[in-house]
Amino acid sequence: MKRMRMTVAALAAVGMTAATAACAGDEGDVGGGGGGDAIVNMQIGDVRSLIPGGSGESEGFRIIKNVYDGLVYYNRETGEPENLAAEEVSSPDNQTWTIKIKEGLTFHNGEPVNAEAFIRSWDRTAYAPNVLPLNYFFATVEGYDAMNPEPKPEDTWADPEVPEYDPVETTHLSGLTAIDDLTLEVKLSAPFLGFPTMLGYEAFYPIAQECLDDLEACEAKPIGNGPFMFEEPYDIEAGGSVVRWEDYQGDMPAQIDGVNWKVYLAGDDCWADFLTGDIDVCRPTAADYQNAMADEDLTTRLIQQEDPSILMLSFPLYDAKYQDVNLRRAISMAIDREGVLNVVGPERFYPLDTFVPASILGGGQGTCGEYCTYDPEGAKDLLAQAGGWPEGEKLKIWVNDANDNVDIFRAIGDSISQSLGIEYELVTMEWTDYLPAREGHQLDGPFRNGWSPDYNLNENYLEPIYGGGASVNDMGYENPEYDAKIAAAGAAATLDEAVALYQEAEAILAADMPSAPVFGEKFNYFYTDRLENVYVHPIYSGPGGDCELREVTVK
Amino acid sequence: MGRYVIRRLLQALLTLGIVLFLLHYLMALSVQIRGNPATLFFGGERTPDAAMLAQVERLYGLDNKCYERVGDPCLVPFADRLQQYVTGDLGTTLNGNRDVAQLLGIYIPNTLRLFVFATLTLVIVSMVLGTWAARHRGRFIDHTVRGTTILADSVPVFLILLSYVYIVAVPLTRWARGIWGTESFMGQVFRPNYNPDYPWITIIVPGIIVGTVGLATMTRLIRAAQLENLGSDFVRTAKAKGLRPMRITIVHVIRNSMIPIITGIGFLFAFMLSGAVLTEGVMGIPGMGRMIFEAVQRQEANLVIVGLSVSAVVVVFVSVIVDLLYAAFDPRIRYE
Repeated sequence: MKRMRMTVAALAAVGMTAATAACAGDEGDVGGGGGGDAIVNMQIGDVRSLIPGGSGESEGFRIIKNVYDGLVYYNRETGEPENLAAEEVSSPDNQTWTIKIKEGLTFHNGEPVNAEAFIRSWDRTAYAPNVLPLNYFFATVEGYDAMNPEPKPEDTWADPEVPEYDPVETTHLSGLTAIDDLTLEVKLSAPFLGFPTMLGYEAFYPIAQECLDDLEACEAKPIGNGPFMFEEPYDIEAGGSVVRWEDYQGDMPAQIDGVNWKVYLAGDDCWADFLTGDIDVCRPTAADYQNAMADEDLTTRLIQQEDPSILMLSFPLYDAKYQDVNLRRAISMAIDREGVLNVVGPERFYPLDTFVPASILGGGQGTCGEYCTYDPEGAKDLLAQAGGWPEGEKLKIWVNDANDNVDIFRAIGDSISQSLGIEYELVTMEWTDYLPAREGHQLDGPFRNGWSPDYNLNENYLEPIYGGGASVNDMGYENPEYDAKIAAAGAAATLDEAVALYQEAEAILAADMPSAPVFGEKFNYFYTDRLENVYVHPIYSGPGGDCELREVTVK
Repeated sequence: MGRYVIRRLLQALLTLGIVLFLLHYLMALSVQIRGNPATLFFGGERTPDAAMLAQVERLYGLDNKCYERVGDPCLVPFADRLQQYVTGDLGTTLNGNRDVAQLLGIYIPNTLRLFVFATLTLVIVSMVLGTWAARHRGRFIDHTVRGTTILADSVPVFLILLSYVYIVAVPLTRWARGIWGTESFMGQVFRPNYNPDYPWITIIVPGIIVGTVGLATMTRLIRAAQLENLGSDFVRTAKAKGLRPMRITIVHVIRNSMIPIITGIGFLFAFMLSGAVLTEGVMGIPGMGRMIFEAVQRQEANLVIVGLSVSAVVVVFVSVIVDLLYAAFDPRIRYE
């Protein structure tokens, strides 16, 4: 079985405790949009696709989530899914789900948003030959296997990164049935209680028939059902604009007249444009960070929240040297997390002592406990119990060289080296080499590992990272007890029960310590003084500066 | 004249052919000596399956046997590539599979606009300063001009750029907008970053900055050329006829000093491309310089070759224009 992973660190964002920084606005004299139009200017990066199911990364999704309405929307304070296009999502057994869609909803082109609109979208994404990044979200739906046979042998593909398939006859997920025009029945292949929590994600958005008929046109000028719509095509290099859709019937309308996205590619950032008022929400880069924080006027317009993204030092359990749990614990205890923070910027991270961050449903258990607390003496004792470190050998720490990863892991390595008295070597690799090496179990020392959630459930930090068996996950971790707990949680009758079972699984994981949690991330977004009601979504906000565009207003 | 133009164009084509071949040959040599880049695809240390390697080689266009013989010029793949270029097929990028011709359609106009402002800046500023210095030879003005242009040229372009973007641009933009408003020309022109909504206005300042590359060289060239003419017989005659100094400068001195100046501009044009790489990167302009730089970083071999070919075409084209301009400026030069 092939497992997919979110390779693009995406879907970033933050703590449920949405710190809603109030806007202490004085009547600013600069930056106010001249014409009086309430257009908000946002920054954006490389967009892969603007059709649901095709993006799977933060940049496409930050547009898609405003141009489309999903069945549910994640409440920005609690993270709970709340019905948006859906009237009701229910199931007697967590396996057959009935979704009732609200009446009278349409796409921008007038087509109705009905059960068919969802079925055609989900069928497109689940159909293997379309090779869409969010295909794996439908693996739980009955009939997925018929649409996803094994691909042709790798050496016959024209492009080694794009799988090819023999013609697949089945083009419809057999688990999806339109009971009537507005009722959709979804049969899963196994009970999954968390199903409704996934429905607010891009993979489950509807698609208009006109869009399927001409995908290329729709890619440039998406036909959504959300509060914003495109009038002009979007341009990958130059960005694009949306305007408020006046006929929007849904529950989360836009308050502003439109949004303009400006593209910043690698090596370029929005900060200078933010200072001139040309971009409304932006994060300072490391170089501008201190100046920004020292500016009293700017800091009245700062949103600082915990981001559910986490950073870990994972262990190669497939390597003979790392079999003893005490060695792994010793390395974790040897990291002075607070000290490292002072080196790399204290506002950017917070020390993490758990496998699931507190902002996620069921998270914040502190399962790593004493082993994530700096204690050089304790670490040395544990190392001695594990039989010590081989004389004259260096501890190799593997890291991909993007951003300032190398600085962060050098500080971590220094800390380990100092506490345990062993030498270390930092081995850096490019991301595109690092990823296959990590997946292929070729790294012979602790390695950098990060995770951003796909949806708000502690399961998302447990199963996708550590499940699937030793041959599948990056650490080579396998514990039947753990897998059994995960399976039991998936079949639980209520969400509370499931969350509790997942927490038990997390405890097993913590005892085995396949990774050492190191940091949780924080973000710092500034906004211009023409904006009000600026909120950042705790689960889904784009990196580099983003806010809830349906709620933001312009003075 | 017509025959000369044709001959010159044919020569240009030949030069271009040689440049393209050299580019190709260097790439082929690097494959032959350093090893097959297709294996890089598999992460270096892994020994890929032969069939998969062959597949990647097909993808990169490296499946010709000549790539295994060191020194082989690989003429067949070269001819294939030229053929593709002629039919307008410039290939696709490895990352994202985008049509290179389409990308060039976006990038080239941006760089051209940048060069328009850069050339204008270079020509106007160096002409004024060079002429001024020549007329006041050996005096304070002459020394000042020579000193400041050397100073301006000694400051690396990236430093000028970074100080502009991070120190000057933001307060200047805010100030201008406070007076003239955001949507005005002045409200946009000083912006720290290029903006596709104002493709001309926001490229002026980057253009001026690129134009400072080679300012000292150009000013000195102009000064020297004019000094030579100022001491010549026809200027003395003009003075004796009682012509006004301004007329002597414009009609007799400047026109006759154009030859080395035009040569210099043609030469600096190629030089400016290096300034464009930095400027386009720092100020967020999606242009050719930035494209080539990123292509090198991402190992987009095809994009690098196409990008360099395009700049070779531009340089050859500019030098043809320069040759033709000689005749226009100096009546003594006649092409038969």
